[in-house]
Amino acid sequence: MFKNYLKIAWRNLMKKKAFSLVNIFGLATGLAACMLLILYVLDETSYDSHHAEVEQIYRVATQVEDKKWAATPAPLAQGLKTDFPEVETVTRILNFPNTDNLLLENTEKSRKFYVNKGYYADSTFFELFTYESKYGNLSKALASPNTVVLSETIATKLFGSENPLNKIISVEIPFGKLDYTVKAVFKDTGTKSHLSPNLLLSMQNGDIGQWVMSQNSWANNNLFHTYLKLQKGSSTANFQSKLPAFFERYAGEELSAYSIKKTLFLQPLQDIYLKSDIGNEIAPNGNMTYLYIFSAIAFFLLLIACVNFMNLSTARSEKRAKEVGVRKVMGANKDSLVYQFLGESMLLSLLALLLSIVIVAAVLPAFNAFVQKSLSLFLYPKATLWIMVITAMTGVLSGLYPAFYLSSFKPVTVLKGRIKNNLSATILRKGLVVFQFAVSVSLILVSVVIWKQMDFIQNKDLGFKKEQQLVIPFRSENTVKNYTALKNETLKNSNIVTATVGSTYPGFELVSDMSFYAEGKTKEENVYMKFAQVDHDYIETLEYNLLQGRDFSQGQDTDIESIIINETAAKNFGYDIDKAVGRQITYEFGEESNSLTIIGVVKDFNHQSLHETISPYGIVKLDQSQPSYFIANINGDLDEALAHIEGVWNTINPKVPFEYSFIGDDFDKNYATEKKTSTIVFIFMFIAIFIACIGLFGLASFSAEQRKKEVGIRRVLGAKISEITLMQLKDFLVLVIIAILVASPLAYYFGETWLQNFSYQISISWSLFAITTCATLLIALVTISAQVIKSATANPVKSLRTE
Amino acid sequence: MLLQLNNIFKWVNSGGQRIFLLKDINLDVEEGEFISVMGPSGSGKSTLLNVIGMLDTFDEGEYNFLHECVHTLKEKHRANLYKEYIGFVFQSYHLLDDLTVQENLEMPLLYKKFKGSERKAMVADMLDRFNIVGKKDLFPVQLSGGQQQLVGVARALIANPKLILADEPTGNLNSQQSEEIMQLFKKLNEEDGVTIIQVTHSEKNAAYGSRIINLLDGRKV
Ligand SMILES: Nc1ncnc2c1ncn2[C@@H]1O[C@H](COP(=O)(O)OP(=O)(O)OP(=O)(O)O)[C@@H](O)[C@H]1O
Ligand SMILES: [Mg+2]
Repeated sequence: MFKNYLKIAWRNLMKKKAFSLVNIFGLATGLAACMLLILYVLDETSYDSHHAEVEQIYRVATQVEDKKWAATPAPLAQGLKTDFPEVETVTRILNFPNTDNLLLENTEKSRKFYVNKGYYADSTFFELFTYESKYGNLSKALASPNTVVLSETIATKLFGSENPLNKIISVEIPFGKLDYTVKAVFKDTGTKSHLSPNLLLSMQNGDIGQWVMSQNSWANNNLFHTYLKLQKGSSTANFQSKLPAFFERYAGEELSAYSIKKTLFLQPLQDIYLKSDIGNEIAPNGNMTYLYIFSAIAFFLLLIACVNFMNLSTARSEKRAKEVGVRKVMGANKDSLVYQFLGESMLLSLLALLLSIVIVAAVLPAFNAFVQKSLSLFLYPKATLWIMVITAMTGVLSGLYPAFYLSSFKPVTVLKGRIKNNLSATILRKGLVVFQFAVSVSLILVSVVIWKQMDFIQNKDLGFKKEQQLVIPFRSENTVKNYTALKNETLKNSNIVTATVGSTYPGFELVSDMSFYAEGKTKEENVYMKFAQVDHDYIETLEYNLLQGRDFSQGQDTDIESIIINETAAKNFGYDIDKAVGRQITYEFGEESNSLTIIGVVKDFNHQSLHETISPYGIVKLDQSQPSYFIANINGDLDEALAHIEGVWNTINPKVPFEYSFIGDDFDKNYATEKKTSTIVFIFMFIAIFIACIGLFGLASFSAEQRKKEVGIRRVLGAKISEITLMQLKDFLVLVIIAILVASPLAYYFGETWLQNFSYQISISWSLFAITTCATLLIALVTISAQVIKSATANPVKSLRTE
Repeated sequence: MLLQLNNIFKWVNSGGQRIFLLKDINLDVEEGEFISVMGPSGSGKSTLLNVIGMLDTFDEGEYNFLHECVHTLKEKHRANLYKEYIGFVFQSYHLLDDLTVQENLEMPLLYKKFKGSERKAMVADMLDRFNIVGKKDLFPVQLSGGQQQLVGVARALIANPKLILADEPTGNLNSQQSEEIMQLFKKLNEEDGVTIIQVTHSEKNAAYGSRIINLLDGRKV
């Protein structure tokens, strides 16, 4: 019996090959897309879950007014450990400014390369964070001075398959070059963390060790990321409630000297990656909102794919009413019919599942490359299981409907073909098509909004020259020293207009900030201002629009006490823009107070991405010894200029790898998340539309088949082909228009919500809706027209005879 | 006695009016009879046949089939009864297009829980008897109308029913094909003792039967 069902199921499948294929492919696409998204979401939510007793680990962060900051002053960690018995372990990580890339060298093998995510860490690092050792003893590794722990990846890059224990590597940063002894190697596969360190250097060392030891201020230099682990069974709430008094005890006096109100707060370790997006994060984090969006997309894709599958399956089964009737007359009872239809749809859904696995396996490498993950198909068995359950449910649901609906009819009725045009089934089917298209239309609308906004932010005038601006980071002491030589040699090429050096450039997160107050104002009426430290020609190189005054110039000693500010800063100080030059602003540092003279005002420019509004900004003269970024304004042949600079670099700084970027690219990196998200939304929008079109196509062919006789009779009675085509098209287009009406407000809401991420936004205009409506109608038209025209032009005599 | 209809009425309500499809039908059928039902179009022939075949219900009267009171039986019992004793032949054959001749013949046996080996033997026997062994792997569309109806009759007979109900079995066939089917019916009736009730519009076909029942507006005349 079972074999018989299977045989019939298979034959049915093969007989309507195109139809079955479309149906299976539709579901498989939906399942595959959903699987990818689920894998992605699960991967994002599994950061920092590998640490032992992770619920007890927190990061301590600070807050001034509404500004949150991920790092703390140096002595905080020890203070917490001493004052609170419930604090089991503390550890600090120092991501020193301008050391985001370290130059590593294994002199023995003459291997030399830059590496990021290298942190200075306290020796307790591995007591708090769980890592598996490949070589050496992790818990003791960082206890002695000038030691380093490498990730397995970096160790392999430096030493190959050799055991690197107790070998020496040199680490170069802008302050100098120092030797470190490798004391351990940890395994870095399968351990996802918001830190994901490549190497850890002991906090006691020859370069910045001295500086770290001297840090005893509880207010300044908030550069240390402090992590703590609470004793098992201790109350976090209780601990948290004691923090304000503790902080006041140690930091109160110092902070009130600066008139700053600062508080501490705890961030659970597992929440950092997805939920924390505050100042001075150690590395860019994920984003919970986008995970919600992706989950929603996954859910809807799966829903429309399943709905589609059911719709097509049931549409097809109605053609089989006659078969049901005959079988009943031949003695089939309801049960056996139910089994038969269930079996068929289960077989189809099983095939779809297999196909979806093939699809996922095929696209996973590309997807991995795109999202920069190493996902694999069965990484999360739970996800796989869920997909299987959902597939089975889809199969059952789409089998149940025809099974119970068709087999409930009396055989005479079915054999007379009287169940055609069943009203409730038709309404249900049409409702499902409306639903599918509503989802697709929403996705199209949101995609158009995203696309327009991305286009807008990339082409907006930012107030400086963004393209053809080369940046070379100075990452070692020598390169800083050779700056002047580099500049002079660089400018010898006619393609390079100007060159300068600065502590930062637009699009880069600024670490330097201070509060200033204007003439005649008090310390309490200060203006919080970020500032860049630059060499002369900086304004000219970046092509800021200087409204008043002058740029810094060579040989002007007074420039050290001068500042150039932006319009917003001038406004905040209460200075008129044309009268600001020559006025002074004052800052206090501990007991001292110093004043700077304003020598210029620049037009507001976007020093940060368009997520942020423009804030007060100052530019001061650089003290030559500081590490910085070399910036060259190129006008002309880019390749030629680049070749020239590389040549110059290699003669002036031999053995230091030539590394460069462009301001435009770096600036746009701020939109990396949005770009990634928008690409994902685009891709899944296409998949959704594809599935919806499959649904529409299936329905169109189903209805064309159903109306074959009607169309035949109308034709014989003299209806024109165009009239018949129009009559059928109208039915479907009405559905699509209803879908558009339902989807538009939803899409508007989601689009607006997404745009809230930006301080500079496009407005969602009616033209967007018009474009979407036209596009959707066009897609729908293309999908169904072939079927409709085919049915309208079919020879009426033939269709009447076969009926 | 194979079956007995006593004062059968069947009606539908249309616009507050009762329209009779069958009116006071009395009919006794003995085993081994070959009955032809005749009458103008719309006179209720198909309706009567469906009532006898238990595919349709009636509103009043009594129906006994092999000493079972059909009118009091539950749906499920009724289905079991016709499954076991009645074979149907349709004007438009109603073969399943997706199954081969052989599989079409096998289908009713599947629902009657015959074992695989038994089914094979019975199908082979039928193919043999109807001389269609060569066609066993063809699909219905590959057969002529007469051949399809031959398969239809074979399918109706395969589970050894006592009664064959045929609604215009030759309606779609030409005269030569009709002749063949009628000869077959006659042979089945005479040699195997199968009871046959057929609906027909042709006097010639009706003459094969031993008795003719005439219907007019749902009434026996
Ligand atoms: N479900 C129904 N509702 C209303 N009227 C019905 C129904 N079923 C049958 N009829 C009517 O009952 C009458 C008898 O129909 P039936 O099919 O039995 O006729 P028939 O004698 O087989 O005709 P033909 O020779 O054309 O096949 C017809 O007038 C038909 O319109
Ligand atoms: Mg009839």
